[in-house]
Amino acid sequence: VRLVLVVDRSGDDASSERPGEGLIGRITSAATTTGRQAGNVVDVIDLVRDGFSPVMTRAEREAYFAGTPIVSPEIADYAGRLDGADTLGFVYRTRLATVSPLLKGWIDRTLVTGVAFTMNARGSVERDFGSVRQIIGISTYDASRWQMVRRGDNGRRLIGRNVRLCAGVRARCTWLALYGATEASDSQVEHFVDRVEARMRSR
Amino acid sequence: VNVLVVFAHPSPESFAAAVLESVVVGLRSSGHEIRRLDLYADGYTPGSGLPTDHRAALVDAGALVLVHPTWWTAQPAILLDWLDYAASTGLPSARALVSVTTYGGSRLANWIAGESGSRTVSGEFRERCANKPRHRRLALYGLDTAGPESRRAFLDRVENRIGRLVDPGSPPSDRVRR
Repeated sequence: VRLVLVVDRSGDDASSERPGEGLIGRITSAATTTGRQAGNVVDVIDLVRDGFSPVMTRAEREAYFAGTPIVSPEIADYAGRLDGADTLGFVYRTRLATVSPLLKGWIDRTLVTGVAFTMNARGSVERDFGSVRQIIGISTYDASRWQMVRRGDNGRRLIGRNVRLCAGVRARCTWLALYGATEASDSQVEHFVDRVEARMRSR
Repeated sequence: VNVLVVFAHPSPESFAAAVLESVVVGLRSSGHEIRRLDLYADGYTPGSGLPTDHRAALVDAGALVLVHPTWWTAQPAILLDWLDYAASTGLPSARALVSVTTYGGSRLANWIAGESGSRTVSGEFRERCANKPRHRRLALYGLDTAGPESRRAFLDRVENRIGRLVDPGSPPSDRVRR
């Protein structure tokens, strides 16, 4: 099984009560190690380490309408790594009740026509994430579960609906959420990391 | 009303830029004061916080108008980042929030896909505004297949309605068709 994990560690700055290793970094290394031990190929796209810019450029937008949306080598590299992946995972801290801007930028720039979907002759979108069978979302939230119920979890909507639909309605979506992350006790964090590891083992 | 208009599109020749012009013309003809921010043209850098003048403009703004395309049912990343910082100011004077946006796909396709961007503004962003202003929208769906007539009709609708949408005292009969 080939799994691609797209990780935004920028959220670690605000939750760095545990110095040395931020929460997102810790979750990512637990998921990666366990996934590999279970015999999977785990490819981590670390947006902070890559110095990724979330801003879609004018050249990219114009190339998008010309039907050749990938103009930079870094995006071509990401798109190539997605080719043949069975599972696509996202790890990020929820901000403004939605995906982090860095991750949104990755989705905007990388999941373009020819990668995640194609346009048919009528101008409608058709799914093209042929190999992806499941989506895994792993997110930390500053807010409590009930606050998120009231506000609506738009990151989960975007990934669980919009991105998942590109893989087809039969693609599964698993969501692992740590609510109240900034005030979580060590044992709560431990329990959450255990859940992530269990999920990676069960594949 | 002192209106802060925020534009987020990489190309000044895009339809979104035409929408911005309609917003500006509509606001001017209604007698509102306008402060424009173009996140792309101004070189706004995500992750680096709000420039001081943006912060001051947010504190003064009686209304916030967001003009942007919708990608993956949400705002472009550059605007999403800006909104995250903007919310921290609490927009103490704002009494109206308006999104003027275009979608490549149909209304049905976007409804199925979750409309996460609209919910972000009407949800947590609005909640963090001091006055909890109502969020109103002017949206054109199906831009990818829209002909010149429907594009023109949308620009006219924006120009005619925007002046009243930023003014919370506008008559309730002028509701936005969603």
